[in-house]
Amino acid sequence: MTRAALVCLVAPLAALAAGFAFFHRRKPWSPHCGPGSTHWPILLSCAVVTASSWWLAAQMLAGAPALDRTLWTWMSAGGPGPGGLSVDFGLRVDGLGAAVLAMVTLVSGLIHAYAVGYMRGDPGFSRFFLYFHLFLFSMIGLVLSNNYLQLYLFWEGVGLASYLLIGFWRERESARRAALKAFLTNRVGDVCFLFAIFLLARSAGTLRFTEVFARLDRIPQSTLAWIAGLMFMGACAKSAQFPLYIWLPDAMEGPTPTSALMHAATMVTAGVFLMARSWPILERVPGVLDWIAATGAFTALGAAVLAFTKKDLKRILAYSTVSHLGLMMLALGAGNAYAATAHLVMHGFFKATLFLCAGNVLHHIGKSTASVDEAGGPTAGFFSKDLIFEAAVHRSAILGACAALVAVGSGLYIGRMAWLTFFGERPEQPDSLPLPSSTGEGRGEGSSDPHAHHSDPWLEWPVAALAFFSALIGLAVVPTGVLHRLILAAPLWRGEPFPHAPFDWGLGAAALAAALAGIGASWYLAMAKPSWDWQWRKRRPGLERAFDADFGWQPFVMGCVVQPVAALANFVGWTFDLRTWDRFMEAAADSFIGLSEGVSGLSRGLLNQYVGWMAAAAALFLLRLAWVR
Amino acid sequence: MTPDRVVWLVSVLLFLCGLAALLLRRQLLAMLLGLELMINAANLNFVFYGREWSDAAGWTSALWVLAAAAAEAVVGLTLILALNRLAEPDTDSVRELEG
Amino acid sequence: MGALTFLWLFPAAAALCAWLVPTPRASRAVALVSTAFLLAYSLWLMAPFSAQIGTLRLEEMCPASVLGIRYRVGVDGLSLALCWLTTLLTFLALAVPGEHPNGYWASFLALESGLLGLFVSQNLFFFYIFWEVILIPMFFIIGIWGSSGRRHAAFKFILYTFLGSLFLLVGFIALPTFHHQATGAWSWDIPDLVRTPFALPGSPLRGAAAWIYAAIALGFAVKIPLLPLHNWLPDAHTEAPAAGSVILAGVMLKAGVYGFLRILLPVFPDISAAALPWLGALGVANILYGALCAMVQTDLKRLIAYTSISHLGFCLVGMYSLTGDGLAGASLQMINHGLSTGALFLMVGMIYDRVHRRGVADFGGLDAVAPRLAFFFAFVLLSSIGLPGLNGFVGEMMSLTGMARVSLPLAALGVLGGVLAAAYALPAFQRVFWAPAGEGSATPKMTDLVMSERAILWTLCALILWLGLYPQPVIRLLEPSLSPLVAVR
Repeated sequence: MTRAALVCLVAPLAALAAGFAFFHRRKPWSPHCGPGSTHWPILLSCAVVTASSWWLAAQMLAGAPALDRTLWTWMSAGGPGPGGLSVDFGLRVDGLGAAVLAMVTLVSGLIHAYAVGYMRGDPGFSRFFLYFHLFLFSMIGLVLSNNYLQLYLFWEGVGLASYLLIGFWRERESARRAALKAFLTNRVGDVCFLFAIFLLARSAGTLRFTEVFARLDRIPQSTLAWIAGLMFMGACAKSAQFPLYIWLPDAMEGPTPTSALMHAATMVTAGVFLMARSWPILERVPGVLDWIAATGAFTALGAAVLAFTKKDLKRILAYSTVSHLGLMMLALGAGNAYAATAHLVMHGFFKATLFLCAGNVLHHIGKSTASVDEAGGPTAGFFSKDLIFEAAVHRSAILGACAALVAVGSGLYIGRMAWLTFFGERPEQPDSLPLPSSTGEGRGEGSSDPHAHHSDPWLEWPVAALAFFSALIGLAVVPTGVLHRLILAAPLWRGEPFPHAPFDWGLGAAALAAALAGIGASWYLAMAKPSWDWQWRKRRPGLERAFDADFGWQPFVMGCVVQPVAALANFVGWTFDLRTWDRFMEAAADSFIGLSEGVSGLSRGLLNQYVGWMAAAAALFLLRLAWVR
Repeated sequence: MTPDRVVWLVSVLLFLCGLAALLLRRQLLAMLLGLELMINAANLNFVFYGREWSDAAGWTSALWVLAAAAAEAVVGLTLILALNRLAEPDTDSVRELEG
Repeated sequence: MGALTFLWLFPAAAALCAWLVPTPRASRAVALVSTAFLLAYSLWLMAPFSAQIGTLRLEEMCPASVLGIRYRVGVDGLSLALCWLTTLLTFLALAVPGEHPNGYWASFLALESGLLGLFVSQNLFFFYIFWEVILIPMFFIIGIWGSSGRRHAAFKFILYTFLGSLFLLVGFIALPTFHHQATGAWSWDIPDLVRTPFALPGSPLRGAAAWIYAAIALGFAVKIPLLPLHNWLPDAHTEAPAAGSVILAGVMLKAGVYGFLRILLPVFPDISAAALPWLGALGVANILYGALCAMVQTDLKRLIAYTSISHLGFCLVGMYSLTGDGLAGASLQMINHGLSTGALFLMVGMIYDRVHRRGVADFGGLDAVAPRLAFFFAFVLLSSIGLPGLNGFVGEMMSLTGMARVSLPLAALGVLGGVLAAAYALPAFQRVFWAPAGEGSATPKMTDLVMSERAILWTLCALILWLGLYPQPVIRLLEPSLSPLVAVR
């Protein structure tokens, strides 16, 4: 089994190296850029990795014990004992990891294939694939880590890949800015996570999952609360929860495969994954759990509302992702890590499908491809969302109400998106509706891309496969308990905190009803009264501005965080360091020159002066002698 | 007013005149004259007290001082003559020696 | 002649040779051959050092002494690691293609000689001599072959650091004096001074010890540079020629940290423990101040200079945590910073050699014209901001973990440096490499890297990656020198 896990890590590296070597030789800017050969080793690697990870998942399902091995010592200093630190590179394969890995690899593989078609003709084709595969490698590493610091390494690796991919079309100012925003916001979260790691190292003396969780009893409660809280802040940044989600909508500047893979299916779920991994810590700090649930609920609701008001296709999906991530956090906070993980896995499938569909819409204007309706109906998302619903209801009525509202909300916005994009008439207003022409991505030529109308098999069959999986997997895996068994195979935590209850049809019906209500409402607003959508914008521009600015959070962050730091940097760098302190030191040095010039005035060669000094000295001497007498 | 008082007063006055000349005059020749005046003021004391205490050392010292003063005057005058050839010798202009 | 004496005498002789040879090309050949030889030699010296006990080995000393002043050299893991860093960076810096007169090559060789002598000295007197000696070739390097503001920068550099060294001298004279008072024997040898019973409660020397500590710390602090005394660094780094900046940032700044580790911490362990909050706070201030200043710089070299201040703050933080991992992190950070900042300065030098401009706003779209340069620059910059997997992270991580054991608030502030680092590095990188070129940009004149430059950068990047993923051999080399310094807690 180790070999399979190692294959998952080594294959992408090998593909990257091969791709880099090929990439290096070609002139990246030659006008005859065809796809080149970079993507073949990468696609091969995707296939290999997917096969290995599904095999691993099968193994875990069959009851194999967890694999937890050290590969080599990363850093070790200060000896054993309280003053030292020792971190290794290692592998851990257990049910949780295997489940997430299976989803990640399959979805990534299909999106890699999609990207072949999507990025065809782009001069940065090879570069894209290298960055994309770097991302997959980091994500695999993250899931397979066996200690916190290694997870952090791949966590940052994923952030780096995200930066490179969001800013992929680097000639565009908006893309560059979005990439920077993503990296810096994630860095803030990373710093919190790192500090949590310090606290862990200090109080537990080790960073390996198994050892840390064995020593939790020795750590005081307040420290545990801090650790959990800080890790949650890190997860908030990565998984786009309330204070730190601001990078995700702008991250849509990247090419659609990027958004599909990273910001729907995998990278953003790294935060949830971290929380699930750290469940033994979380279950000991119920206060933090409540906070997580509250943040999740708030984010889910807020994002659902905002998704309803956005005009850009990909932005709607972005806010939808934020909302779903909120749901996952809600589940976690409600006490059910299994539900959160299940939703994570399912969400990966259907959200990726949705993004790829959006990409296809942009690519082939006017031609619609089947889109999976995630809001209701017996597809993947439905079952996992239902689990969350159950967990929320069990935990507290408020959370249950929130979850219900979110279900209505998602019906609303997804419905609106579907109706307006595919079925609504093109209204003729000055500031017209989304449609592909006003989306933020596209290669600058927008909808008049000459490649647009060729039907490209690379673009079609991955989406179909993903849709197929989304539709079926939910039915196959969740109610039958397969996913439950997998996720809980060889867990890190003790006991059976998440019993598998049979599917509660009553609650399921309620959820379905909520979703249908949402869809019905959106049909009414979008189809029956199509002018409603732009009328409120015209009548209340202030409201539209508020929605655009995410109820004011975006300008708040800019004004209260970014600008003060910039002002501080200006003050320290220019006003203080250069103009004040440096000038002071140089003035101090110059004063010596002044002193020296003053003293050298004594010996200018003026004889009379010399004589005068001599006479004065002699007089003083005589006076002294006289005094002695 | 005893004789030694008078001599003391005269020599001090002469010394101060010489010092004033040295300090205040710019022309080198004048400064040299002042210098000579100071030397001879001191010499006056040697002569008087040599007679007063009937000590030959006093008169010998006076002679020595005269000889030394003469030698030094020779050197000084030579320098002044050399400087004269170049320009008007003024202490302000001879601050830096060249050549 | 002993192996260590050869280590620093050889480059001195080579310097003379390089000076006297008739043509600059021959001089360059002499320089390259001798630095390559020295690199191999230093690696050879490291070979017998493994995980065994690492107190001083390879000692050579002259038995005769005057008041304890005698020639004594010896190395342990820490010194050897720094010697290796010196020889590596000097070789790589001199290998960059370019034509320079004899004096240039000779100065670098003389500088190398001084640095190597500094790292192997075990007698305070010779330590001080080498400490001062290294200022002179650097003064010439900055003052003659630097860029436009070089005269001012060279004078500022030498006067500032020299003033600091005077305090060092006072301390260095006081130490053996007090040693004599305490034990009755004269010795300027560092191993002997380490055992001076300063700390005895009834000793009349206790009060004086604090003053001596302050004086010596001040001398080293100017070099590191520690915060209020850092003004010489931006000018010196900016105006020096590329190779000069590499050695200055890569090695000379480490001499200050080395002084702390070799002399101050071993001789005065309890004063160090008492000074912990102050110097730890000063280290954190370095981290944050350097990062904030770097955010607003418009000159690439000045930006990198301020990042040096920031990174050396990590060294100080790790050092003054006085824990095993903190000290290891600080020492490792010295080496890591030398490699990454050396690479950065080399690359900016390569840019400057081509277009004679180095402002952040002077370029734009460089990625299109020089993609290989862009790759290396991005790689090293990521190491500089502490991306895990590259070497910068390991040193910073271990330093902060050490500090977290001692003072959580300081560690929290230090970790903020990570955010600020991304804030200063990435916008500048984007403006130079990604943003479209503006009017009057120097980008059209840029050409991509040639083979020799790429080879140099590949070496450095390979080391950066290796040390990021598997720094354990180096840590094992450094640890034995550091374990006596760990305060008992």
